[in-house]
Amino acid sequence: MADAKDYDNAQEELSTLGGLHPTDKTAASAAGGTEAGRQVKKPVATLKNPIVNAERGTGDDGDRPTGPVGLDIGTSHIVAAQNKRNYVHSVQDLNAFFTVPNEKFAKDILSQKKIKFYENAHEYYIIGSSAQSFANMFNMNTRRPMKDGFLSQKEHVGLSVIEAIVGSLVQKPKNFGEVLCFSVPGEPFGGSGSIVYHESVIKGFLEGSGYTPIPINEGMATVLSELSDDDYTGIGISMGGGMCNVCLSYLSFPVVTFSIQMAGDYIDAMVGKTVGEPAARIKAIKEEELDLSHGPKDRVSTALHIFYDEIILKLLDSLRRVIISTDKIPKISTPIPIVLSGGTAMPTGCKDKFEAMLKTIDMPVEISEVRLAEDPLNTTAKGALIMAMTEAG
Amino acid sequence: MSVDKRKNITAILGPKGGVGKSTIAANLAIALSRMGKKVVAVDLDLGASNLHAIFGMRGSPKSLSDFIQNRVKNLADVVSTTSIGDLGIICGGDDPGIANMPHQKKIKLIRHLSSLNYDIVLLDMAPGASFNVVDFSIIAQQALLVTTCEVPSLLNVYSFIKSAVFRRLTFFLKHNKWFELLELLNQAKEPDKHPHLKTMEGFFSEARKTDAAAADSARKMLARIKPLVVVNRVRTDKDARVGEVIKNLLKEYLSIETAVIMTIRDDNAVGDAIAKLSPIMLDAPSSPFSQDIQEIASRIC
Amino acid sequence: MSTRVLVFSADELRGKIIRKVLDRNGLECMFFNRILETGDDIVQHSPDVVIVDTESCYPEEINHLRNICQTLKHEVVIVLGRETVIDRFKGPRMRKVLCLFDPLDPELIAVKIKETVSQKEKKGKLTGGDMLEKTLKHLLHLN
Repeated sequence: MADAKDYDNAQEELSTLGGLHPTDKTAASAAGGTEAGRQVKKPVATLKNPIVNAERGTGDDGDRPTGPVGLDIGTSHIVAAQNKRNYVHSVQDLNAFFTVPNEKFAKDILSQKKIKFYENAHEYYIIGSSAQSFANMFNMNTRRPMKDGFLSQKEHVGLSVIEAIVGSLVQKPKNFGEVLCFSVPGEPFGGSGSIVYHESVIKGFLEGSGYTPIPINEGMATVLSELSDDDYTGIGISMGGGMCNVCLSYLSFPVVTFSIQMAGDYIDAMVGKTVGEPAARIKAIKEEELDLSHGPKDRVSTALHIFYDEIILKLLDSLRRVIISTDKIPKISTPIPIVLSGGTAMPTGCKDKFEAMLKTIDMPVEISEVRLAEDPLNTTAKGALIMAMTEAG
Repeated sequence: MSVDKRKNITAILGPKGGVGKSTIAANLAIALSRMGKKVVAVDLDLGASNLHAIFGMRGSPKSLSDFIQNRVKNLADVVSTTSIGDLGIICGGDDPGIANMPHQKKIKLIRHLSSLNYDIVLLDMAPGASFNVVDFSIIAQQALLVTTCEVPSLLNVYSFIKSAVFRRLTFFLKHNKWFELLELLNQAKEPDKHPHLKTMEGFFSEARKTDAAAADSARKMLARIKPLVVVNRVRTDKDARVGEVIKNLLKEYLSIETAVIMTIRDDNAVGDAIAKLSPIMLDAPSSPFSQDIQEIASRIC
Repeated sequence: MSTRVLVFSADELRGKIIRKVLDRNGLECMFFNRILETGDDIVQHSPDVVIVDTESCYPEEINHLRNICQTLKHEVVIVLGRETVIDRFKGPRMRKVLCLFDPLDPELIAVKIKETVSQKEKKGKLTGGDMLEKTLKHLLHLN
């Protein structure tokens, strides 16, 4: 999400850019429809001062995080985690972009103002939180490279945008073949199997960047990050933007993984549709004001309660059905914990609501407790980093 | 042979030398004495007597050889007192040739042993399976055979028990004038020639064909032999199980089903105590060796 | 010396889970998912225990595992899987084979291995006793 500084920068830009207009969706589609396959993408790294706006820590190069990388490639955010001295250093950015026409003076301005962007033959792709700022200026929505947890079918440039964002968050590896562990969604419950394509193309570009990429299920990353005291045995649920990912792990082995393609974006869209407000506004209310531990106080919070209930119920019901129907789960002698992570699990009372609804479900495995991850937004990246470190030895 | 059955004579036998027989005898005597029994330990390892040394005694003014050589009339007069309760000791003496005492002297000694006024008479026997040793073991109500886990010692224990069984049967058959069975028993001593007599069960089976009542009577007499095998210096569970092997052999070949196996753990404290000329039951009463001796004492008491 | 266990499973996840649990239980464990090379691996590693997981195996692989199990005489053999499949591992030449039905219960496998190995060790010790008895019989001319 863009911060206040980004917003001010964008306002200033708007007044000076004059003829700089967004490439509207129709235009982008028309251009992309014929040119996506032959677009000439210049990686962010080739630009003069491409990276300025990431929410990353400052410090000299000696301070740069090193070694294995954990990468959470989510529908709404991309988070990278790396070790820096004795702590896990996380940086994140919106997984979004906004296009403006490719004009010489626009490039100069974007470069001068240190906006994250890259260019192809016809457009400048403003990426990350800068894209949000620009979208707000034009009262438009950002475009998203991913939808419901996977690469968006609608956005032909999605992968290159992700590549650019990742490139802005993580420096190229010092040594060729450095281990990078990236999150992948679970197979959608009762849905199609597009994981293979999604995983393969992301793996491909990471390999091209000099990494040894290793995929990790997003729910499993939650387990690795949060359930070390439980012998990595339990259920990790990552409630993100595009989907909720679930993993039942036994001694660090993901014995059951799946996802439901309903999460934060679904709540925003459904509540917005119900109360007649833009999804972006609902998202802001959800993230800043929602308290699920108390009864709803207005139409929006009523709708938010209802759709949270729907998602949690869907999660629990699908979890119950998956566990019943699988023969992969070993006998587990003691009750196991559930840990919730991701931005959608963050509103006050979400964990309690989940716990209360769990009590109404006849779960085939005994649950000891429901916990919220320590740092829900960075949990997946941290878990991926743990995996990367393990693999790197 | 007239033996006072009221007396509890226990023979400590170590068919192979150096298995710890005298150490066990001395400490067993102490353990029994501490249990309130009036005990006398008799060193019958004539010619190589050392029981007194284990008690920390340099010797005694009178010894068993004085009795055997008729220098003392009554065996009771050669008993030396000790500072341990009602425990007395008869030292062996060192007269040359005493080990090969004539039969008449042996009978006299047995008679005197049986008449000693003690609850328990412990005989520390010489190694080997000579007739003298076997005879003393036969008159004893309880024979305690000491062995280590080594094959030679186990062989000697089995051979000793076999000798005792044959000698006892010989006496028994002679006494009852069952000479045909005695002849059969003699044949059984040569199993290669008479393989059907290799086991005592084979002998009894053949004996029944001749005289069923006599055979059954002999079998009953044999059933009264209850050797107690003590496996000394046991270090491992495997060591402890060697007694079972002997028990199996006794059952299979000699029809002895009542053998009792006990073990004494290997214990460095034994060597330390001997070096100090102090019985380990006094020197280290809670040592594994002392504990095991106490258990054996409880068993034979 | 610790007990050496070889796990054969076409299902990598199950195999790794079993290995991890057995490792935690102090059993030296190796996992192989090349089912058709089972025989070679057994010869190479001479294990005390062989765990055969039939889950996710093709019929040909199950036949192969069955044949292997029939040849194992000194190893403890534990067969895992569904009841219908495991039934094929029963028979006169499979008396020493221990069958554990799904669901996978790694802790139970560990317990069974310890039990069986302990029984085998006891038996081994008795065999040591048998050897001693044989020696004594020989020396005493009792044979």
